[in-house]
Amino acid sequence: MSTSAIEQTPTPTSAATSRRRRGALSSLLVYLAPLAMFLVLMVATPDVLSRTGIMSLLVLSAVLGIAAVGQTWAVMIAGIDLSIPATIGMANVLLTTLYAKGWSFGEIVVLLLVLSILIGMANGVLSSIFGLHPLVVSLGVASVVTGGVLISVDGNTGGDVPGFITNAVSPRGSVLGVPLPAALVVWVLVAVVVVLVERRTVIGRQIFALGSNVTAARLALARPMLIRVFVYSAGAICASAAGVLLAGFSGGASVDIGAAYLFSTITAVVVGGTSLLGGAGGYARTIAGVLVTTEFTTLLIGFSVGPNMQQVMLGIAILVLITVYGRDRHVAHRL
Amino acid sequence: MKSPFPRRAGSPVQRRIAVVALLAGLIAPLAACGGLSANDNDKSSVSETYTDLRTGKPESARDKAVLDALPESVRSTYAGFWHATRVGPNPYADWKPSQAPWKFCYSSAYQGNSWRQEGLAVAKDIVAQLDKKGLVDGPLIVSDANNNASLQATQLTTMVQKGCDVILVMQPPTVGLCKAFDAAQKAGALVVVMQTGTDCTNVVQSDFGAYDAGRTAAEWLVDKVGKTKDTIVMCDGIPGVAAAEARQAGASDTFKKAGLKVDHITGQWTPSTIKSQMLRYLSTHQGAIAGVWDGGVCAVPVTQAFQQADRDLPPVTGFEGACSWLASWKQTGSESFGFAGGAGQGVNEAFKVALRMLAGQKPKHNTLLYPLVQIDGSNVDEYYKPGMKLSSGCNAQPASGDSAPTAYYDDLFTGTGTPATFDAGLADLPVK
Amino acid sequence: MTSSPLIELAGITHRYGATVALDGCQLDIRPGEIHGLVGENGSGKSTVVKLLSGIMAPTEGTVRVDGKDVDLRSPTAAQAHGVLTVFQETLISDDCSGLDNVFAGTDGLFRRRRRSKAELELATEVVERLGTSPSILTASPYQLSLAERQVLTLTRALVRPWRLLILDEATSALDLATRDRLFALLQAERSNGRSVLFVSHRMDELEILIDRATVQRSGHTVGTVDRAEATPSRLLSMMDGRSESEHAGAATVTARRRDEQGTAARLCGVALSSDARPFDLDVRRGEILGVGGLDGHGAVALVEAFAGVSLPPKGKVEIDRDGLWSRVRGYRNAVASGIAYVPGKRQEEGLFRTLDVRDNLAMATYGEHSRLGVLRPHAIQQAVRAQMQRLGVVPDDPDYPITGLSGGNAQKVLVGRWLAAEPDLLVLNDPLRGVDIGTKREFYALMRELTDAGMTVVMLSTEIEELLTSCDRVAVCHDHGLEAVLEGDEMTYDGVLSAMFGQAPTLATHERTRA
Repeated sequence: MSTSAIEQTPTPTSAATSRRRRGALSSLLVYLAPLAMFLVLMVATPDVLSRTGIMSLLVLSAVLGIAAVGQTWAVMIAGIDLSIPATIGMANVLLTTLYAKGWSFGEIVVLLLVLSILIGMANGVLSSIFGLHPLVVSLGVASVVTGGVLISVDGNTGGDVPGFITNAVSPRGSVLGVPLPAALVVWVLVAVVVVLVERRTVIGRQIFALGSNVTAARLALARPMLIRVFVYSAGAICASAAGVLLAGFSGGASVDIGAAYLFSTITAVVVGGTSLLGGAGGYARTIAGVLVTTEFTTLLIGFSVGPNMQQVMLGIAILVLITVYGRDRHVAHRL
Repeated sequence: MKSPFPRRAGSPVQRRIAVVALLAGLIAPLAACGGLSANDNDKSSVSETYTDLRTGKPESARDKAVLDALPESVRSTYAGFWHATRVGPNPYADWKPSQAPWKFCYSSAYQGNSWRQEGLAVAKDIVAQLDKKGLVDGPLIVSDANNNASLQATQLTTMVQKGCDVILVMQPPTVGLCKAFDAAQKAGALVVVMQTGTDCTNVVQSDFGAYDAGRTAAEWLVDKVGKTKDTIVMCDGIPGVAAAEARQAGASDTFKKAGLKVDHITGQWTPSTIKSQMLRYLSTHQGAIAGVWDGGVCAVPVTQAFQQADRDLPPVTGFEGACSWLASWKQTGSESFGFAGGAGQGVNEAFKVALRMLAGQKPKHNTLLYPLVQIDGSNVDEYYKPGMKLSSGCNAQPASGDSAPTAYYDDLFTGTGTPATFDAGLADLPVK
Repeated sequence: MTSSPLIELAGITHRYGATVALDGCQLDIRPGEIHGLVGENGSGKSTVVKLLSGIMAPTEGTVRVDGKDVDLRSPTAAQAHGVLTVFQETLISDDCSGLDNVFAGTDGLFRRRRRSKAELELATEVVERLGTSPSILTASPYQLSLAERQVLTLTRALVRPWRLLILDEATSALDLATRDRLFALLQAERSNGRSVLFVSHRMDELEILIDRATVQRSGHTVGTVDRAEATPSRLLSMMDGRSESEHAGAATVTARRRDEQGTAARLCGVALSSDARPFDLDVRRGEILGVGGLDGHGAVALVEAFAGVSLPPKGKVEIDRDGLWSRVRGYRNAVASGIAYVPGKRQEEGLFRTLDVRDNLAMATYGEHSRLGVLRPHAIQQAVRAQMQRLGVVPDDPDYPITGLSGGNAQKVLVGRWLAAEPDLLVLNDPLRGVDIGTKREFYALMRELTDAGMTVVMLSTEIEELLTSCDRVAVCHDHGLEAVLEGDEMTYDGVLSAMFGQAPTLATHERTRA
């Protein structure tokens, strides 16, 4: 059989070649975008070229980047996670209130891990067994989480923050004498693990398969519910980590502290070029998306653009970027 | 061949152009609207009894007339009132207070933070004190609408049905509850809205003079920085929210008058957002910064941003007198300026208004603005307590218990009934 | 038929980057003719179709309609010239009714809430001419069979004012009755001066239908032949460049009768729907059991029962595992018992369209190529390469996006996904629909190779010819029951066809229907 195949036409299907090139080109653009944006930022506001300037950018990116892990994976399985802000708020409030009550940091971390996995299970199981859209499920879960936290602390969201957490998100922070903020180091570690899981593990590939084609994934022995629980749990754990870092960042605590992270995580994922239809993209792209959006908002502040105009500009930037990256227009063109 | 099928626009390039055109089409009217709304200054409607809510706009002839008619003693507190509220006659002019004991109710738009919790605790304490005097019928009825206007309307209706005599409403949305307030008024309940302006003219409002506070803090900063070419950074609250815009208007007018250069960051009254905005601002502006004006919640995150970006800390004002701000002041030793503006004093002032009205006095206007107590280098030690930390969630309260002296209200009320009194007990609130 | 061509491609060359897909293509379609377009995968057929449908513009050359140069730069432009295309993929939205699908895109900017009565009547008339119940227009497309969905896409084209209808493998999903109705309709429209460009791999269909045929090979136009010349063997030799005599007689591997080596799997008292007659069916080790039947008569349910994808409402499915009967209780259980299933709807149930060939090929076996959930890239690369070589997947590159492969090659990848699991029983649900003849031949040879090595194959096919030439026995379903199991001399075209229509030629000798 193989012999006859070789006799046949070994010329690669030509449409694919061009599609593949287009794909490679689009990836290249995504990864070059942070650099390009940084150049623009540098030219527009040369002040940014200082150690603290760059570190500030990276710390802000790190918190957003860690929060965006869950959104990236949720989008990759053709879902969405609206419970990320609530989970951030939960971790933020629980860390500060419990730490003030004398819990050790380790105990709090264990509690947050357990709660995050419960949140992930709720999202994954409910969206699987009732066939509900994750948009609805995660919105409900978010409401339960926020309400539950407020009940448990009786509305008193203040507390104490461990000093090392504050140091971790300070642009002047250092790790073992190396002048890098710990938040940045954590982000790099998270990124390495997440990207390796995506590319080098069975469940990582199954995440892609599930987002690409649920029926086919099931037939290829993936367990959709298990994968969803894994995705949403991992996302909740990362969101909790972001909530802990935010406690150090702002000192105080609030259940609403994550509110900004719904829009910004989705923006980072989309700007990174991960398709909302699922089955493609990946966290490496989101990293680029995080850097671009952070740089872009900094640029707007550098130009002293007002808050309302910032919203407009950000919206336009998203639309323009999406058009530039291009999409698979294969099917669209046939109708 | 005549086709019944309409043609669609063709190539991808054309479609992209269409997208761009569409975007441009979206933005143009936005910009146009901005121009329009700036131009409708004086549609003075003399027939209307209440001034218009004119957030972010310059003083109109009508506003000026209303302001000039106010007693001299309160005029500066009411400055710029149109940014945050509407002023007119007392909507409860025909209202006859019932005899004690009274049923007190507390409708909060949201209870999910320490500030709101503090307000509720103070309200409960005051009601307990009045109860000891035999003035209260049953426990304080409390509702939390979780930022849902229609839910709050329902809760207000329930309160009316339960026979509330006084309903204190904590920071309701500016619009959307007027009908519920109307029903309460018709049922004979006194509605006092606290700590925010509202578009509804059928309630009594108790709030501090936000424009005045923003202006006072800005004046302190102007004094502090002197003649300088360096920039003042204004740390703004939530765009479009009347209370935030009023403070900002007070500050902006002052800085403009002093000829200072001003940049803005928008912190949304959220510490993490404020800090990331400030860090971004600092990393793109290496030039010297003369000072930072706090429009609420900004002092601590802004100070941290300066420290963590290795920049010299200029004078930074505070606003609402957060315990964390006082702690930060002690830590850095950099003098600041702010107000004793916790939720407790706000509830305190609202009760004072309600009790005067229950005693038969009548306010001259629907809106009762009072000045906040100032905290500066001269009196900071009265307010700072050792338990205060950067992570504290409490706010400093006026040392005397009152933001405005009793006499302040005398000019704003008519009638002679003697109101019930209570001890605000604000000094005893825990430091958290 | 000497009038000027309705549409003409003159000297068309089309390149994708450096690759030449079409090189000097010549094609003319006269008014009132049915024109066949044949060629193996990669010969440029689909490029021709895309150029005519306005999906792409040629790099060089001229397109003429009625002798005038035109620019078909968008599907809308093509439609304006009366060129309408129906593809093999049934592009139907599940979110609106069949009728809305038929008239999709005709409303201008806003979707109208209701379809007009005239539209309903027009669509009903077309659907009825195709011998299908008009209920498909009102039903939710989700419930429709592949054939019914294809009828919708055909209707979508036929209700519009067409002059040239391009059918790109559009008949492969249809059952025989509908296909014959379609052919009758096309022949009637031909006498109205309308033309058809018929792209198909099915020699029998081409033979019935076409007036002329153009043959493509490796991007070149080999030539156009008249009906009289367009015999299957002539066309085949033009397509692959071999001599005609090589194609004389059977173009496929002859079925062989195998020695019985015991039973590999069996259905006991199985009913394919709750009110159908239960029956028994044994599959012999090392045989290729064909499964046929008209659309909606239970053939799909039969193969799905073997694979554990959907368990039958009555009866049990068992597979022989080392001499013991093991009951199939579900899909994962079936896989664990050594059964592999290649689904029928390649796009909907098989392929991961966003992923590359490697993922598509190895997804089901990633578990085996991992330690504690961590993949072993070298083992995977080796396994994938081995499968690709064995199946002759073109291009030979695991990093290729799966959407870049032709239908035949994508199907090879899908089969490879399950061959990699080395199953005892391979269940195939119409694997060769719309696949070119070359690939089919390779595939038959592969199946024979596998069964020689002891694997057992159950294969559903909608093509009787295929069942006859590639299978050892053929089980035919009718009305959700097993109508007949044919083997040896019983396996004739008429025999299978009669059984499909519930007229079993002889009493099925081996599997008796339970009373």
